[in-house]
Amino acid sequence: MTRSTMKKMKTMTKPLVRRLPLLATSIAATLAAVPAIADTAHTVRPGWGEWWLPYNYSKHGVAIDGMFDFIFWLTMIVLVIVQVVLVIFLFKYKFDPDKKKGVFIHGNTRLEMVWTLIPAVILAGMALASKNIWDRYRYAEDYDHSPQTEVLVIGEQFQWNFVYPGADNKFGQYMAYPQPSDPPYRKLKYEEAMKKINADIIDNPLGQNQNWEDLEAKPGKDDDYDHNPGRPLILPVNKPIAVRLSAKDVIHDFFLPNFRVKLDALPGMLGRINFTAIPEAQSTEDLSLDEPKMMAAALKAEKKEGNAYKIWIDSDTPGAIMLKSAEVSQVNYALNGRGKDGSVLQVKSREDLSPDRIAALKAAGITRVTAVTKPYELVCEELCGQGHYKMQGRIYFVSPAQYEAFIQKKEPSDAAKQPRLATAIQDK
Amino acid sequence: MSVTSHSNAVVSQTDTHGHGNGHGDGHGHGDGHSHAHPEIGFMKKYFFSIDHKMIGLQFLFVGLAFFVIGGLLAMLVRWQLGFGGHPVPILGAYMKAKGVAGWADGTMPPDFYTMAFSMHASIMIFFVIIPLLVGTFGNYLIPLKIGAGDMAFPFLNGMAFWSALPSGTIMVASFFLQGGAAAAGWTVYPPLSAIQQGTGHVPYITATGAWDGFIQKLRVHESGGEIAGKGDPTKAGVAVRTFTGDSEKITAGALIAAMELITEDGASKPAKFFGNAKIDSSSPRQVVLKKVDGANITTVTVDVSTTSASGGEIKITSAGAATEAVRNGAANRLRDRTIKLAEKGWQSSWNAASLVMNFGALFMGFMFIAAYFIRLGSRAVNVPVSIIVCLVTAYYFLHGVQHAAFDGQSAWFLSIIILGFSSIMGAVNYLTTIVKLRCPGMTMFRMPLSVWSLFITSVLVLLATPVLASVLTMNLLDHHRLTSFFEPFNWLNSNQLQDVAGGGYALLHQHLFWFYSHPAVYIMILPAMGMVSDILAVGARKPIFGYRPMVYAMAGIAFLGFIVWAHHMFQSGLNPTLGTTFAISTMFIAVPSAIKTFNWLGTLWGGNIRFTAAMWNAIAFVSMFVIGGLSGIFMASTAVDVHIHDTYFIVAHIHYVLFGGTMFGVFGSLYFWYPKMFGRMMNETLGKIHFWLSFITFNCTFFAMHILGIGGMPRRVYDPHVYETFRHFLPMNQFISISAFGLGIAQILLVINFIGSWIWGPKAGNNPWNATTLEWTETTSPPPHGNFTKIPVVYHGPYEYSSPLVEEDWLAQTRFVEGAEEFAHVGH
Repeated sequence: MTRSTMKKMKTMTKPLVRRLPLLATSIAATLAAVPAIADTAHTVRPGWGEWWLPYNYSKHGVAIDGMFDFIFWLTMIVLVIVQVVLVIFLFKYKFDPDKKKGVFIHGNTRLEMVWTLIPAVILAGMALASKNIWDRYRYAEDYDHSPQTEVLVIGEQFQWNFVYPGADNKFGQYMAYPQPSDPPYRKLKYEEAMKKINADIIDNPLGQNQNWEDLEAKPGKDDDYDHNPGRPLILPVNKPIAVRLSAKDVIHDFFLPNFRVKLDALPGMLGRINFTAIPEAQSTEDLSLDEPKMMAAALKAEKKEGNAYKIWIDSDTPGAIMLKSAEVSQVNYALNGRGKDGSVLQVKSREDLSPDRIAALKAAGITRVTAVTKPYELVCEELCGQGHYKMQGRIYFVSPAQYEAFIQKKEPSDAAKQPRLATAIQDK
Repeated sequence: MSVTSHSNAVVSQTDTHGHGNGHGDGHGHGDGHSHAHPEIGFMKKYFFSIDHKMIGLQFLFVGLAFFVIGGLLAMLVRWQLGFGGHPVPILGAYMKAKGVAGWADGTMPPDFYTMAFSMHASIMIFFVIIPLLVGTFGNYLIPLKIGAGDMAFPFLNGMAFWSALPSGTIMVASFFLQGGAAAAGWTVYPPLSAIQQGTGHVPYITATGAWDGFIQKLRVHESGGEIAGKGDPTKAGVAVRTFTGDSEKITAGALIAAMELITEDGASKPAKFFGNAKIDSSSPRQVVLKKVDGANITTVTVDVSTTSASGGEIKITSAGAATEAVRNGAANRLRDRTIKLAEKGWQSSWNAASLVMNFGALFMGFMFIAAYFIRLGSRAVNVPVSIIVCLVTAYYFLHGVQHAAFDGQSAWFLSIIILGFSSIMGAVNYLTTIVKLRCPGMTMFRMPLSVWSLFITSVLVLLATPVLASVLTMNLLDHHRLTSFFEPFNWLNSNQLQDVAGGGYALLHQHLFWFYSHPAVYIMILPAMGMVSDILAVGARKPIFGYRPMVYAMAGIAFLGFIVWAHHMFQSGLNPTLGTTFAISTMFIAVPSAIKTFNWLGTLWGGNIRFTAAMWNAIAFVSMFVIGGLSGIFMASTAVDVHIHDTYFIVAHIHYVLFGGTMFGVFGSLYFWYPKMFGRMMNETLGKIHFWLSFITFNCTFFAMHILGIGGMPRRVYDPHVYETFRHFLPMNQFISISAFGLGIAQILLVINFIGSWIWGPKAGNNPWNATTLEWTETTSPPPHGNFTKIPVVYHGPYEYSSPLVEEDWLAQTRFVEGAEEFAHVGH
């Protein structure tokens, strides 16, 4: 956790009472450009918008939000009418000792018809309207079924695995775990076979079918299926994306709040959801180190998401501030196709990109940098077991060209090179 | 056909109400030949009673007791969501003092949180709402309102209670089982529910390779930067620390793995690794190794979820040796434990909870055997039930379970299966009573709406509960790794191959579960609708508006309730087209709900409303049910459900229906029928204060949850604020928590009023509300054994208030007035 996030956590854990004045001022500044509470991600609308639907960056999401708004206003009108009528009745017909009796009436068939048929018609209309939106989302009716960007997502206790199809844009066979009756194990004793299978599962955690000789085509050979818990999901904007979804053990949930996408990852089943991210969703921006533009970018960064804005720099550039992590490596790799040692310059305020600083960077031989905003979040809403609660995922949206580069040049990451500890133990 | 003859007896004998053959005979129906009978002993009168009123009161007290437990669990959940990271008051200190794993600093560990909300839902649904609505008011009101002396099967009625109570006991006692209570949510979706839950669990025991396979289950997380934990990285070298609270728990790693990693990593620097890993019994130990190497800090977090029988401290002096020692030690301990469990079954974890469960289940078994031999009259139910219960009992408690320990999840399944028996026994009883034992003149359409609602509810229970029993039995077998109905793979929570077949279908459980549980939602609201209709008519001094449409609406809800279950599964991997089908049927279920709402408004229109505490609660029911119903439309739309599925919007919706609806209905009914139950009036002022406090805090709590849900905040999550998208919801969560505590505290007033009025309340007359139905006009408060001294005869409908034909503003059902019925039908 970075220091800035720690600090943010601290401000957020202030008791409600101390935040009330803040909320009050934000009432006054509803329409102001700079929100009173600036410490939210770009995933959440500023100001009072943070109490509403988060930003939508998907094409189909517009219709979903429209449907939401329609139902919201409709139900609000009904709600207000019913509650007002109820309260009026309570006042108007409150107990009056002089009145002695109420109206002696048992019902009214015509009225019953009215308040049966009107809701029925409205509800039928809503069911049909939402059917259209739903079909367009689930069956991708808006797309022409041209080749889509496919990614395989496999949930697991307690991490997400992302599999990219590689240069051939085809997936191999996954979740094809060996059985004791399979040829390689058939001749072994049962116990030995179990032992060997268990060892093999550790080496091939996603169960890719690696019996190449059994397969005519070998589409899985160039797949990028690193078993790397830290790595983010990288997807292109403005291209139809098809997410194939499954799980290894228990049910997980693939929820992108900012893209109006949600589906449970069920073990033993392959789910499929389609969506297209709008161009505004792109998390990256190529910048040259021209002073005015850079300053503009920094300014934009501040407006866009407070003080957390990252600028990723090529790893082999001397003089960059190093902070190594799997994520940096992955993103950097996706962006420029370079080696795995990413380096990052974290810009914490506008001062960090002062002219002096830029001059220093230029002197170090850096001419172009890529700015990356915070990732979008992948939220899991299912129970994972053992009280686990943060099956978070990070998602970066890059330009189609960047994505193409990322897919074509596959290189094993750190995690894949790690020694298989379990096997080592097993062998001892 | 003893039933028929009994009902005939009731109808034909108008001068004497008793028709049984005395005590201890083969007929369940007729113990009450004299309410002044001196031979009813204390136990028989108050505990093993077969009088429907006493059984109703038993359900009432048990339901209210569980309401307290479920409410306290809700407070714990809210504490975590609002003030997570702060020590839990009282419980935190207690757990800390007891040295319970995970509670080292008094804050709530994630697995406990999961357990708390799972049990909150389970207890509230199965042991509060259903017993209070169906058990209490169903039992108490049906015979009184239809003019019957008792239920059709009084002994079956007693059994329904005496299987519900052990069932609840098992549910609560499961908290004290090793590993704690069930933590897979109240929906118990497999494969999660098929996994052995909680801390300190024993890994699956398979025929071969259990241990060898187990140690491979390590997974090591490596992350850069700081880690969120306490303590400090010591000097140079490596600090080995244990902590259990706030770090991510990784599945089935092993301490050995950590040591092994160190060995490899530090091969060139052998002396760098030392530290203490304190091991306390039966907790997952999380070991954090921190390597400080110049500016780079590498953190390795390893979770150890093996079980050790004995505590102790392992001192790691040098990497290689320690590894070997630790590995052997852990291996031996695990193997010992494994063998022990395999040999002795779950009884090796002998403690208070298991004692309670053991005796609870054995008691159940004997109950049913006794029922079979003593009361041959209800053989059709008793024979299969007693055989099943005895077999299950014998299986679990005599031979032990070979494949897995008897943990909280097993207890959950067992408890709900037993409760299912109770529900079915109750439903059979209610249906028979309503069909056969109505007094002369009480036609079906002269029954009060509360009886209608309980009739329709009983149909739902009878048709839906067997499905639940079947699905939970399958899941129980899966849980013990005997079958794989719902598990597609031949392993569970690891990469470990198991000795099971796999090939199951996880979605099947959801279909079967919701086939019960969606009708169950209506089981939980229909009786409240009926009782609120009664209260509204009495309070407004008006006939219910549209009596027949109300009945048809309830029947419509019940019918539609059976064909909407998959709307819980829109985003669960269901076929999208099937989703559309269910969306349409779900939309249409709003129609009968709308009819009911408008009819309630019509009932209030033109009334002369008396604002008693009961009436306020009934009005709140209508108002809150409207909100709950309207928010349901959002989810009924498959498209909108994409965003709000599994968010707090759903939590808000279900609480508006089940607390705002049902619980206010229950409160209202309690205030309304308390005089009949206990012969004393409740304090109106205190009742109104209780109502307004509950109403305001309820809305503060649950209305705000809609907003969280619109923002996308997931339910079931220990700390949603780890997600940046939901971090700004913390103040709102704190507000909700404070409101929820207020809601909890407000219920103390109800307890005071309940107990105080019992002792000091003014004596209630037979009919304090000037109501028209039989329980008020034809009998005393409380009614005697046998209910009526004279079989009542009914002449017209139940809601003849403000009739112009009589002087008063109410016309009792038994009071004959020339032309009243005809007048009611043409009078508008």
